[in-house]
Amino acid sequence: MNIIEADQLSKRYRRTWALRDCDLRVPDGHVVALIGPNGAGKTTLLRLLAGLLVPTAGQLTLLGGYQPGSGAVRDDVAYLDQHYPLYRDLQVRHILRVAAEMNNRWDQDIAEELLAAWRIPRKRKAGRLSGGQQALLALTLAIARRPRLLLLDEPMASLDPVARQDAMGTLMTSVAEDGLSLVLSSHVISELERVASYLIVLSGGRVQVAATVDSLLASHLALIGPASEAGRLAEQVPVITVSRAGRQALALARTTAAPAGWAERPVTMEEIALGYLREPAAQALSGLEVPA
Amino acid sequence: MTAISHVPGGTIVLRMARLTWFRHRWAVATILAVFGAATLVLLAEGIALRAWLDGAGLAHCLPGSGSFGLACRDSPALAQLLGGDNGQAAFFAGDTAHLLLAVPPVAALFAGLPWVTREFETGSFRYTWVQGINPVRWLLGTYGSLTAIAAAGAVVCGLVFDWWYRTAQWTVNVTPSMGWDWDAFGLSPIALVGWTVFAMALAMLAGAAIRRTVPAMAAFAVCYAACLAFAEWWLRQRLLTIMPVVRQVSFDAIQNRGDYGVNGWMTGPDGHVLTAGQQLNAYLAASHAKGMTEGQWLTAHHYADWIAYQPHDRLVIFQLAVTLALLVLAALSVLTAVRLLSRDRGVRGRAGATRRRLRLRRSAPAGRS
Repeated sequence: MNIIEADQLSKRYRRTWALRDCDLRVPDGHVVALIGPNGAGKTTLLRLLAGLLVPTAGQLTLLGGYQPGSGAVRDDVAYLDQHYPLYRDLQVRHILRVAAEMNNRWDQDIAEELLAAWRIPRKRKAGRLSGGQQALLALTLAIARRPRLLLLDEPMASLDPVARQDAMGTLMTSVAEDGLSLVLSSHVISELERVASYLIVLSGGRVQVAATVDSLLASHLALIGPASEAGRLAEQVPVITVSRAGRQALALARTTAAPAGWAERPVTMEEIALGYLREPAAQALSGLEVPA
Repeated sequence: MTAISHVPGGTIVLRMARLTWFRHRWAVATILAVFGAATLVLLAEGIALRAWLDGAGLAHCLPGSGSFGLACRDSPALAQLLGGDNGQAAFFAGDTAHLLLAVPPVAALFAGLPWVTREFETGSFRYTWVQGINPVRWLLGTYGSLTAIAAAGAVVCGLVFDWWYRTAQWTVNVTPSMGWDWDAFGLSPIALVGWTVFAMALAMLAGAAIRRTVPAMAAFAVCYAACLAFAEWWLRQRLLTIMPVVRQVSFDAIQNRGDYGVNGWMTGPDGHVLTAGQQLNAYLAASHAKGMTEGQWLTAHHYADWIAYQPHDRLVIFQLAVTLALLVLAALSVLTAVRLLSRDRGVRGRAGATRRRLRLRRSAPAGRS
């Protein structure tokens, strides 16, 4: 089952297209890294998935064919906005109470457990918590809903390294134990690299890459060779990006074998992501998509 | 992970009531404060007025005491009352009583509107709308809970006003059968509930449409004032002319003060309606008659006086009609607010049932598409 399916998905704000003609097929059980430069459409895509926005055109379904925001998936999808929207005038314990009332499925035990682990004072108003504590509280509220699909828009941005590691650990525990599917948007690619099993790169409102990390790693190589030959390399293999340092050139190419005269080494997900981000015009990996 | 340890109990109505209490205690307190203050003022005023009438020996003359008679009519205290020593009661029972109509919009302005706009201003709608309760239920549930409290406040306040008004009104227009006055058409408990429900709905609509507290408050105030002016000064006048009772009355009779006179005219011996000039001539002729009153003379010469009026017992029907119209307007406002909410985000079912057509070109530019 595909947990996310999009066909020609487009979203326009007045005259500006935030997303255009996006096709996606994300299988169940993945940790999806959603990356892209500012204004690429990451937040718009997540808000469409959460049901907060309605597509201008195209199709978007979740969990095997249901509209985002519909009753069928409402209990199964949780979303954490990048601004950590909370009821700032309420105490943490009252926010938990409200969240319990607002949801048909709610795990009070895990909520209490996480609050205690992250040392979030229950009697303090949310608005008086630090930025990091607010992020952790918002994350707690999302996890305690026990969703099947969790959408997180830059959730770690305001966390210190230790809290970031703890939060990521908690999320990975949910993925492992509950079969949670996770979509994580972040600018910190190295952070995503450790956990992501599926990569989506957005650029200028279009999907540039959408494939499993394994298939991307298997189909891309870093090629090292003479800078003078870099121009001809593109005639032999699909080159994503080339950087030159003195007489040597380093190219990211979509190939499984280096052409003659070029040395090869495996690439990391970060290198692939950065390579595509540097070349927004570099396209598509249609052959690498995991079939629905 | 542990097992799910909490499943919210009760119906959606109960859950929304509990949610409203947790989220909007200040709104509930504001509603209670506004209606409570108005009720307390009326209670204090009414008790003082009754004490004054009792001290003047007029308590037995009040409507409902069943003892209004010659003793009451001829009492010096009543003469003093009618002579103008009732300024305070007259002040309240007159146009100032219409200040009661300001209570529902004040409650709506400070309690029925900010709960919507703050969701947008703080961005918490991005949390609220992705929870298990869908945004439409959240909107209707919160509105319903707050409006139920406001309506209960309006009932209590309206009943106290009714008790106060009958006394205050009597001190202005002393009659044994004095009931609710037509001038206070919109002040009955029934109408007050209608205005309250409408004000809360209009406030929610303004909040949902504008999404900023102060501009939404201004828009609400303007719209509500326009609706109130339309209902009080235009609609009521038109409504009361519908299907009046028409009958011939005696020239010497005094019209029942509890009725609402819509129109009056005079016909001559030939049955035609007289012009103002012809009426004047008839009365001039009657005034010179000897041995009979003007009325007797006019009747003897086959003049007739006609009146079109609404009987006093229809007052409640008209009040119910206006209240019903307000409830319909409230329902329309709520539906519009729901529509506005649904426009921005989808509340739809399975994709196959409402499949949207792909409106963009399939022939997308080069790239991933």
